[in-house]
Amino acid sequence: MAAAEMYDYLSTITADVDQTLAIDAQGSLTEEGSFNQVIHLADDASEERITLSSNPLFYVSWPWNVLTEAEAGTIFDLYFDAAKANGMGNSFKWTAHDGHTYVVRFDCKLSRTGQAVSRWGYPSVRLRVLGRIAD
Amino acid sequence: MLSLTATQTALVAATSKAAMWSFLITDKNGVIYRFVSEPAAAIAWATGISWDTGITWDAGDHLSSIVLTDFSGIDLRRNLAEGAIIAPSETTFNLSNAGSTLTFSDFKGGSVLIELYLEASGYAQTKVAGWRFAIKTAEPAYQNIRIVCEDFLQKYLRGDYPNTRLPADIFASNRSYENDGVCIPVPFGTAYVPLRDVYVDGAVTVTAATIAAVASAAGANCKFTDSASGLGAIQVGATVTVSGFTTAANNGSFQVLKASAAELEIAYDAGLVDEAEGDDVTITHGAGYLMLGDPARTYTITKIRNPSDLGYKSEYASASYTFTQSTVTDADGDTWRVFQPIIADTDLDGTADAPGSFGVPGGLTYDPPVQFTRDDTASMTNPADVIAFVLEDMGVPSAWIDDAAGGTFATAHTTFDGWGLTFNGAFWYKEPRETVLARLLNMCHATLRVGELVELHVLSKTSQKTITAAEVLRSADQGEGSFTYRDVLAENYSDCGHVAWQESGAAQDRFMKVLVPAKATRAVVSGEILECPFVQDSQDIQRIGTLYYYRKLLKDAEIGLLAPGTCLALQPDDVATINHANYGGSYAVLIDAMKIMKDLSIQFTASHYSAAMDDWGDLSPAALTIPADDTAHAWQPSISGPQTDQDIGRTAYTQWGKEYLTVGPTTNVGQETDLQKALNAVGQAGGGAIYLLNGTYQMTDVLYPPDVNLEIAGQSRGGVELKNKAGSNLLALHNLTKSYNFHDFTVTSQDAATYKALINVYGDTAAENTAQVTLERISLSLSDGGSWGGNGDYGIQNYKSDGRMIVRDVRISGGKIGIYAGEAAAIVLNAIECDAVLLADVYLGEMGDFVVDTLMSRDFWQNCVAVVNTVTASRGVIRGINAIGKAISGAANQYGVQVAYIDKLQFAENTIRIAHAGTGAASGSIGLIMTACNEAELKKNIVDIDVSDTSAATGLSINASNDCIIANNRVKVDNDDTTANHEGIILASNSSRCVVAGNNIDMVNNDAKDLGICLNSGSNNNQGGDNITYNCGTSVNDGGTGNAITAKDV
Repeated sequence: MAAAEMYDYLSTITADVDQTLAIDAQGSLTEEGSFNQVIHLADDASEERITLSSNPLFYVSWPWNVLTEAEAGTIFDLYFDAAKANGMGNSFKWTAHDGHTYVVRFDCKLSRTGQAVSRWGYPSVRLRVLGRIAD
Repeated sequence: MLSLTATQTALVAATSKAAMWSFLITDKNGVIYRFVSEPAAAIAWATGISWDTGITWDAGDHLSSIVLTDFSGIDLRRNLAEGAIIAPSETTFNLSNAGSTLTFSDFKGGSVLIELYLEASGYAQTKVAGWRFAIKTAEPAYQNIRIVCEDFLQKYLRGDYPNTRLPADIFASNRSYENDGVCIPVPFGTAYVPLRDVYVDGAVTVTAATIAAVASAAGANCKFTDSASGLGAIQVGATVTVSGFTTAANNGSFQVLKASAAELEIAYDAGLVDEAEGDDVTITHGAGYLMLGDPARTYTITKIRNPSDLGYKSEYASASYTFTQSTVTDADGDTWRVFQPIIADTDLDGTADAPGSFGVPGGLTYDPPVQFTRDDTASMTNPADVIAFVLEDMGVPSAWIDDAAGGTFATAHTTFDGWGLTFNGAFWYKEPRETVLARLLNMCHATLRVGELVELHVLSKTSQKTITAAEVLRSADQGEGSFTYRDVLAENYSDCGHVAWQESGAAQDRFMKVLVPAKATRAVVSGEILECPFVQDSQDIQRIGTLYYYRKLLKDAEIGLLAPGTCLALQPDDVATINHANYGGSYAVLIDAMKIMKDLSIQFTASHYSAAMDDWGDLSPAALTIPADDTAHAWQPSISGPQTDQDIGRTAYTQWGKEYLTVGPTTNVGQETDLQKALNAVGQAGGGAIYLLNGTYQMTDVLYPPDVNLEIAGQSRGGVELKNKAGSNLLALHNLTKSYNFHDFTVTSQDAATYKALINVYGDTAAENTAQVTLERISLSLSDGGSWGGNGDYGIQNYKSDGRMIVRDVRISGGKIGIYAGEAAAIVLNAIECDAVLLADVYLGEMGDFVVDTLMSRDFWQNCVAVVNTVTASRGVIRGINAIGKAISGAANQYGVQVAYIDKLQFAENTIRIAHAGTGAASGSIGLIMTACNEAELKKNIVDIDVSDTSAATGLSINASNDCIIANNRVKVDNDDTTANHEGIILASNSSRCVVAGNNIDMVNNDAKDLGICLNSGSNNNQGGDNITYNCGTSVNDGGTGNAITAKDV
């Protein structure tokens, strides 16, 4: 566990569907966080800072370069099954690298690449982290 | 400037703060949706809102950016009242409609309350502003509903104001009006505005079995009488519909010429037939009323006047006139308060007795200005109160008007009181609501701001904030910021304009204008006129005009800048100060518009003016003194129209000084064609004058002038021809008591078998006929039997009269007697011309005093003048006769002048000639035969008789007349008959103590029976000399005693 994690700044919410993505991320995982804020810069270089939302906004992204056919199929099904993630339509649970389970949704198109040895990959996957489960 | 608390001010000023927007949406069905951009601790969720009913909440009690997107921010604009624009504030946003669970059409017509909450270090989340919007459109697309809003006031500004109905719709008739938009007025304070004059059909109805019909008699008007005196409601001038009489002729439509509770007079030729009461008779008529409005209100009417467009001012005040209010019912059963001004004086007795109206029969009906108050608004003169009333009357919910104690309306109210500014006027015609509101704001130098409530703010030049470099944002780290300054190339360089207004107490249907400067100069006049109908103070209207035209005309630049949220307190119509070298220095600007973005940045648009701005208190214009136009004279009749080319059209007023009822021979050339109707109208008016236009008027009955002072004036003596009904008098003045002056017309008798007096003035007794009659410049063409001793017309008759008649410059031809007076007190005849009158040109019997002065008689038959009294009761003068007897034969005497029983007769300077051939008059031809006229003077007369009669021919015959003077007369008698005596001058029986002197007598034939001067037996003690006789058988033949008359026979 890191000293400070997304877990610490997110509210507890319930996922739209009871599906959990538990396939580990691969490669370099990026956490991207921000607030909805505007900075007004005046002619005299003074500024006004407006916070439009106190809720932080988190995204995580990584590449799945090598997946088994079964793993690739699980992800594929999660994404395209309307009763599951339904693309970007439903939130679901994601078991993260930090050991916590978050409520996320896909925030990307799903691009899959295949190899002759029945290995599949998703070069870029991005999730919007909406909250966390009560654990 | 927003009115903020200390906390709100601190939040606005904070350079780091959190903003939260709240949207409370109510759809048209009343279902409430609430969305907030953040969890909103400051919102008291339960306050005023039931959690259980009618509220749909989003899942998290708040709205994420997904659910409400594309919020455009809030556009706020100042009221461009100087352009009659109440500019809307606007906003737009998208409402997410995932799964299309919402029905987009539910939102159109709904409302949105948008609130802004701020939070900063040290300050909890606090609401700083709110704006109430109406949803103008709701458009679905791709599971979104695009919501377009405008401030909630806008929807109440659509349409016209006042909301009141048009009286002409309520009581429809075929009346035509100058302005079709006149509605029931909405007054404030004391208004003096036009009220619609509507015709209410069947407004007055009387039914009774006591009503009788009375036919016309002797030219008098027909009547309906009511023995129960129940006709008091029927109005003079009304056209009544009568039904229920057995006699059909008595039913129908008639115009009431005179009215009382007991009887109604209608036209003499209305055709009524005498019918006694008994039937259930209904008399009904419509009537004109001025519309006041709501019958639940109380109206106080103080004045009415003619519309300002209609000639000189005629104003009627309640102190002297009655304004009768009543309630009438329309066809839908609704009731309305109306009134009638009792301002018409139908009998000209100086007291108004009938409703008056202003219009042209068959033309336009005008709406007269009425000064009045309504009980609920009589004391409502503060502009703030008036504006609040109007807003609410336009439909704005009272809860949305900031007129509670301590609110902006109350503050403005106090300011207006301090100024002494009051409103008095009314909305009386339909105008766009926006125009109405803009005018109200202009008249009190104020503006409306629409937030959560409608606020009223007095405009002020005080700068609310200084804009420095800290208040101008830039979009990049480097480079110029957002400030812009753009010169306005004004197309209108005017520096002044007019204000239309009216003084206190003056009608508000037309206005005076005063030219006011936008700042100081009045060099280039704008064509615009600012209407200030509610303000009567001359200084106030100048202030209003200057403040208005400043904003209208002097704008010279437009400023734009993007500011941070620290400028949130500024509002449109506020003044701010730009102060930085980068922005052109330091100067004031007026904020025209501002757009508050979602991130609290604010785009400002402002105006710069070419001169320093003023406030109300900075202006001290001089009070205006308005001279009153006291012109009191006008040409009458009108100098335009059909009579323009006639002398009367140009000179009537100065010559006669009064109005004439014009009668023409055909329709559309006068006010009447029926002379009797005109006479009756003058009678009803209590006297007056009638002007007869040239033409021929054939009477169908005798004309009966009423017993009022009356003048009948013809346009020209030869051009106006009056023809009597054959066998009837033309004019019959019977038992009248007033003065009559008839002149300048011709009378042509239509008599053939039955002859009449054409102008007949007579009484049943002399005491009953005291009319003073003057007849001038009249020609009478009379009919007669055409032979000696036959019948014929009398031209003018004055019989049994204690009045006086003057006949001047009258020509008479034909007839039996030209002018007859009998048992009459006095007559003066002057400049009479007669031709071929059978019996006498002038015949007076039992006459009082008389004067016959200048009478030219051609072809008189029996007498030129005969005064045949039987008792001595008068004194008379006969002077200036120039008479020529007609050649007649046989039947009777032919006397130039015959007089009897006159005291102190003056008979002088007359010329009488009798000349004819043949047998002549059987009893003699005599120049003057005078009987029983003591103390008469016969002087300087010329008598010339040239006949061939077997009876006596005499120049001057004096009988039974004592103490007379017969002097300086020239007498010539030429009768070649030798069988009878012929005398130059004869003092026949009992004429004594006379002086006969200086006469010149020529008997022409020198016959023995030709006597120059003859004194019969009983004529004694007559004296005189210096007479000349010649061609006489006897110069002086004295048969009396004591006579000493001498003549030189030559």
